[in-house]
Amino acid sequence: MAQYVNHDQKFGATEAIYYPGIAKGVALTIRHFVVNMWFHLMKALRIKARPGAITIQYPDQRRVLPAALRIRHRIKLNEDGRLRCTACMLCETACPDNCIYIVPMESPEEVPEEKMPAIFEIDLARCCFCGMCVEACPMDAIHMDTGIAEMASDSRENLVLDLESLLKPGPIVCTGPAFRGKEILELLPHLKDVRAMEHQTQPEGSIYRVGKTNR
Amino acid sequence: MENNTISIEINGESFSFPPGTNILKACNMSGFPVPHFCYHPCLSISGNCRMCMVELELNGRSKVDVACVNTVAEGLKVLTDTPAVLKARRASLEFLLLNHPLDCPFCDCAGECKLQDYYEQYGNPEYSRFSEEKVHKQKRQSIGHNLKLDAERCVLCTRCVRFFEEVVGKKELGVGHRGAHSEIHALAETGVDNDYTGNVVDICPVGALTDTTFRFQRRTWYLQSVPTICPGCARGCNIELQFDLEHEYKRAGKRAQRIKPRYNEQVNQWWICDSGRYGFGAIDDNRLQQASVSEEGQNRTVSSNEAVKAAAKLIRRFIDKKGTAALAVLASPDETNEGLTALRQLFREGLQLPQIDYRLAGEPQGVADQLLKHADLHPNSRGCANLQLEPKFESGSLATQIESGAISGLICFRHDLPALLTPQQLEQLELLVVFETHVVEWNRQPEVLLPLAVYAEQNGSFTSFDGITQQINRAFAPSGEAGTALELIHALAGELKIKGVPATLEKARVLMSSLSADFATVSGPVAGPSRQVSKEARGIQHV
Ligand code: SF4
Ligand code: SF4
Ligand code: SF4
Ligand code: SF4
Ligand code: FES
Repeated sequence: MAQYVNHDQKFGATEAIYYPGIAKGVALTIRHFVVNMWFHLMKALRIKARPGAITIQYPDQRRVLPAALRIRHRIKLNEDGRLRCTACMLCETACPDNCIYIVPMESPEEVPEEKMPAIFEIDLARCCFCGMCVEACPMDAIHMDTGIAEMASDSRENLVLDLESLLKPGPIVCTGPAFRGKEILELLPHLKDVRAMEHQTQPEGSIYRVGKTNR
Repeated sequence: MENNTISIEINGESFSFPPGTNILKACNMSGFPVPHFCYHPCLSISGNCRMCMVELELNGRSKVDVACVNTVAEGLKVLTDTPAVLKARRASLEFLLLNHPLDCPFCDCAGECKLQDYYEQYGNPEYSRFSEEKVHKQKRQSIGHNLKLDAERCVLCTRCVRFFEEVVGKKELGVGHRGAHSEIHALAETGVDNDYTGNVVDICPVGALTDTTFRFQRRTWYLQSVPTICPGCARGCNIELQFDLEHEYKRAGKRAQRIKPRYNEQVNQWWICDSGRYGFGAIDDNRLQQASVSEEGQNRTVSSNEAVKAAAKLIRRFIDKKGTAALAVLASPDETNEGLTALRQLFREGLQLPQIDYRLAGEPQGVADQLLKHADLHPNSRGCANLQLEPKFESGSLATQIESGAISGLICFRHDLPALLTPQQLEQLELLVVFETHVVEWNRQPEVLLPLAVYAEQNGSFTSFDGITQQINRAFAPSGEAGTALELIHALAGELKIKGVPATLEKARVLMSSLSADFATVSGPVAGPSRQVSKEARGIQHV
């Protein structure tokens, strides 16, 4: 809970001695502790089945992610299955963290778009998920709607997404209307080694879980 | 006309110009720039783009007309931004944009495009009213050399056509077909072929002509720019060296991106030749990164400091043993005047070596032409001559002297020795100290090999063949452990305990200005790299 502090305001008598403030803080903590313990106790005694503290039992239980969440990137294909990205480098320019690296190249004669990326990398270790790249893209090629929140890795190199992994995002939790129907079907053929697709309907919206089960 | 000036009024202020001045030029000179595509100060008037609309008022009658075709007249009133003018400009732009493709995201010109800029300033902010299918033309046409033409983006200003015809003097391009289907095309089957093709990319106001060496490499807004001098020949053309250091760690040290001409009335006007323009690859390719010392057939990499120490020891020992006449120095006409001054101070004044030269028989010569190209392919031969870096007595070529045993030690700056001397001659040398910018295949490893900075990596000056001394500016740090000639020679002098060798550019300038009248003024801007934001820094694009 944010409290805005007026810096010109002088301390009152109770603020000046700090102790009432400390007592207030401790009281809040104690209250949460007691209330939670009470709920856990009730649940353990099967008197009331309300969960205790608002802890989500991750990874068994997952939170439904909001549809507008900005999370791991992907690059889209156009209706004809060609890359939408024309390597214009506007996302690279817009990115405040310098995490996008593009090497453009001239596309083969038969491709109508003259320019395409030879290398397209996003360094997730640097990314602050601001979404500027998505805003900047004139071709609507880059999106941050994969819903993939699990991006931990045991090396920094693995955090650099290349073009292939941007086209075929790994385990996905897609939520909300953005991923219903056409969109998810468009993505599916590009998912390498899909072993499971799970569909749940929850009050908050539909969840698709697509992924490799070995991960 | 008796009166030598004509006074006119531009936006209510009075100015006077010589008769025959065209109104567009007059407005530009008076600080009321008029947008234009087809007008170029160096080319004939074509008057086809209709972008330079202004309101002209004479004897109480006024009309909106193009500025470039009309010349000044006594009592003329010019208005450059009345509502009628703005409306006319908007109409011209709308017309130019009717069939223009929506290519900005991948058009190399985006960011330095006149059409983009003018649209931003004067265009119709609403959606296009054109609902028919656009006329499509062929994109990606190779029209010779490094040129690619995108006919769809062309605004048919004919600047490129007029440039080849009027400046180069060769009909290379023409306009074919009619109306909306008009297109620029090469007249010869094989495409354009002359030594100045790159200039049309600069004067093309849009992205219709692009350069394959820069095409799709970097976006223009990434580029930083530094004003400097082309090292390609003795003309001393003024250039902007444009480079990009972003993501450098990934791009394997490819820093220089392109070279654009910089306007200089006296030297090169708006142009440069293709060999100068496309010579930037040498700045980053195949550079010598580290010093090495070779002892008893063992070659090892050392720091530049150590190499300088080793060189000093060997030179001292050599002079003690063989005397000064057996040690020759080959200075480089590619070095700056300041570096050469230090060299002169050390080897001529300090060590008193008689055998100093800057030329080596057999080095390639260029072909001079009418426009810019000079036969001397080095930027600073005149600087060397001014510093009298010539042998004290005539004694035959270096090769014969080495063969006769008169010279047995050589200190060489940037000459392609393996190509110009035979392996036997190199083998005969007892001492070979080489300062080199690039990796060279040695059939006889020099005793000491030191990496030198190229022109883009140092401040200094070059003197052109006709004696104009011009400033060169450092764009980025030397590659690897390379040092400038000034630094290395000063360090070498320190090790040899020779006094009077300048340590800084300023000291070298003071010294050299006392040596030749050519060095009295060093012209050209002194500048560090600038983020390329100003239109001036974009070369001549916005003329
Ligand atoms: S989300 Fe922001 S920080 Fe991340 S890549 Fe896009 S622009 Fe850069
Ligand atoms: S902005 Fe869009 S089209 Fe441009 S490089 Fe980035 S993803 Fe590709
Ligand atoms: S020529 Fe200019 S307006 Fe046309 S596509 Fe290129 S940048 Fe855009
Ligand atoms: S190619 Fe460029 S310079 Fe030539 S007519 Fe077209 S717009 Fe003008
Ligand atoms: S500049 Fe005057 S018509 Fe083109």
